[in-house]
Amino acid sequence: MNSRIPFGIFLAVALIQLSIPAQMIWRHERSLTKGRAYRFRTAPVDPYDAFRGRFVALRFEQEKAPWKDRQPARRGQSVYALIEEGSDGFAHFSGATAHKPVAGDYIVAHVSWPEANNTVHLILPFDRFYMEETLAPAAERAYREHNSRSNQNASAVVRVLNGLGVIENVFVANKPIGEFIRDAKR
Amino acid sequence: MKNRKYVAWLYEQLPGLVSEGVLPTESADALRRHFGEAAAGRSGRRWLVVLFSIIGTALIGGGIILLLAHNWEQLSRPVRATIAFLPLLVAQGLAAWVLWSRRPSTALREGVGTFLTLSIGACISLISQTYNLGGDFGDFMLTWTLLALPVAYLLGATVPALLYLVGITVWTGTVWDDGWKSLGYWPLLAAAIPFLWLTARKNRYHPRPVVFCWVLTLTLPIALGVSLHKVLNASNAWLVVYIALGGVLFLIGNRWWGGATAFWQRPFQSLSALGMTGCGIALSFNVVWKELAHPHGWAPVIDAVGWEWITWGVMVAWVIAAVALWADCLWRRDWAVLPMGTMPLVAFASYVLVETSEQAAIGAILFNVYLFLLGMGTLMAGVRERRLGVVNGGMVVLAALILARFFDADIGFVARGVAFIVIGVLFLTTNLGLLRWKGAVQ
Repeated sequence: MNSRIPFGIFLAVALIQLSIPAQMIWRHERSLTKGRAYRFRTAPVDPYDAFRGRFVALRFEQEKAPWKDRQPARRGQSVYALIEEGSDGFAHFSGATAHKPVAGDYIVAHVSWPEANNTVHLILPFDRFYMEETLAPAAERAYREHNSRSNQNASAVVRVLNGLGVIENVFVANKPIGEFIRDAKR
Repeated sequence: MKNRKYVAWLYEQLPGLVSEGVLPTESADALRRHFGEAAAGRSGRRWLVVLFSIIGTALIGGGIILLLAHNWEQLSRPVRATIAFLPLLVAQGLAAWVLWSRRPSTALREGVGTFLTLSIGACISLISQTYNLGGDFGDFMLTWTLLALPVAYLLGATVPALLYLVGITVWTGTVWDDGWKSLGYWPLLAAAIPFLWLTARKNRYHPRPVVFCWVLTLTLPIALGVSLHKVLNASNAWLVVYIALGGVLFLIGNRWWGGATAFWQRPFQSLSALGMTGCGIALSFNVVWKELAHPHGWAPVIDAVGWEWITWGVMVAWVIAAVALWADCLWRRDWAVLPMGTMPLVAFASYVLVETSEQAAIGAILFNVYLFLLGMGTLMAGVRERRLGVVNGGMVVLAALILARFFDADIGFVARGVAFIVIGVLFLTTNLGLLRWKGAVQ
């Protein structure tokens, strides 16, 4: 009977091994289906992750926010960044606080570094968009062309729900990046 | 056939029996001569099967990860989720079958353990890719290795445990500057130590615990430096603490793996002795002690205790452990091990003396004397016991010390020249004296 104990423990371990990825899917799927969409301006590079493949690393134009609390922000501190949609249709952060907001959309982010003028620079939790291996280099080129100062035409749509932001798609010249590259190849 | 099996078992037991003093080395050698190489060959073949099983499953698992990393754009999110779980479920099924049917085969357990570990990594990777999850590599490694560690215990598989050791070290490296997070390495490491005990319980010279020890000896110094860097910087005690770490591993190695017959069975002893000698040579330079000595004595050291007391605790624990193991070594009168095992004490005493007196030269002098005695002592012990490896060890320490002093710009050419000649003459006369005394005895 006792020799079956390891098997019982294994079943529990196997459940945990399945539940962690399942929970990841559940949280992100909820944000994607039920979250509100915000459009962020981006900047590109094309790094490589041996495990997860090629992705377009996203740097956001909007990565700082006014600090709302009395107590000064610390480096690496977990904060709530409040999102608003500007008149240009792009999202920006109206403020950052250590206290969970009661209303409005927000993203849980980390403080990169606090500025002296009560502004904090944020490390956003969404910083990459995975692309098919063969498309990623073309994506990088497309980004470069459409993300210069004279031709800033790239953005990311992020769905936000309960502090979790999930990138839905990345757009170049108002087209989803995959579609843009395929059109360019034709 | 049965005989071979028993002989293989006996061969596995021999190093343990020798180290525990049940059997003298000569008898163990006589047994090996009597039974011959046949059993050893069989044992070698068995290990080849285990290795092929690990390499094979690692290749399959790695291939799955690479295939998924291509990021097939045509696949919808539900399809991707299914694919993510498929290898994991297959691997879990295999592991469940191994456990349920109580298969004792090491090759099977290691193979399935490796496959399950890689499947967990592949599953998390694909989900991260599908949902464009940010975050760093460290978080990914930590989640992966924490989910894989129970596999090591349940299947008795070494590969997940090795991945865990590497994974927690990588994670510590990624959070090095994130408050107290990097101290998390120590409880994470504690979770893996019972695995070593479980695998070493029956035969500590078995490749499984020994490989674990190799990876532990290679990763531990990295994690120690990263997790304690703030206090090590504040106290300038980098070299002292590294010598303490080396001392702990060296003494543990000699205490519990002292009967090792091959080099590969002695990671604790060999790597630690190498590292300690390197640190010791560094501490024999006056200029290094000048850098280590605080201009304001103990004040900055004591000040740092207030804001990093847990880190201090971990650092001091290593020094205490080194001293306790040294005392145990002294208690057991293990004279062959004691000289090298004393280095943490010399380092700590020199550090205290230099910090208190603010005289860097004290540390350098103490270390030069100590290393000279260590080299000589080891050399003589090797000659006495007719062990070429030990003789070479002593020679390496002496040669390194001589080279260090020869190029030491802190000491004038005349002083160095005179010292070299005096020590050389002393060497020759001692040698001559010893030869005459030996001749007289014979």
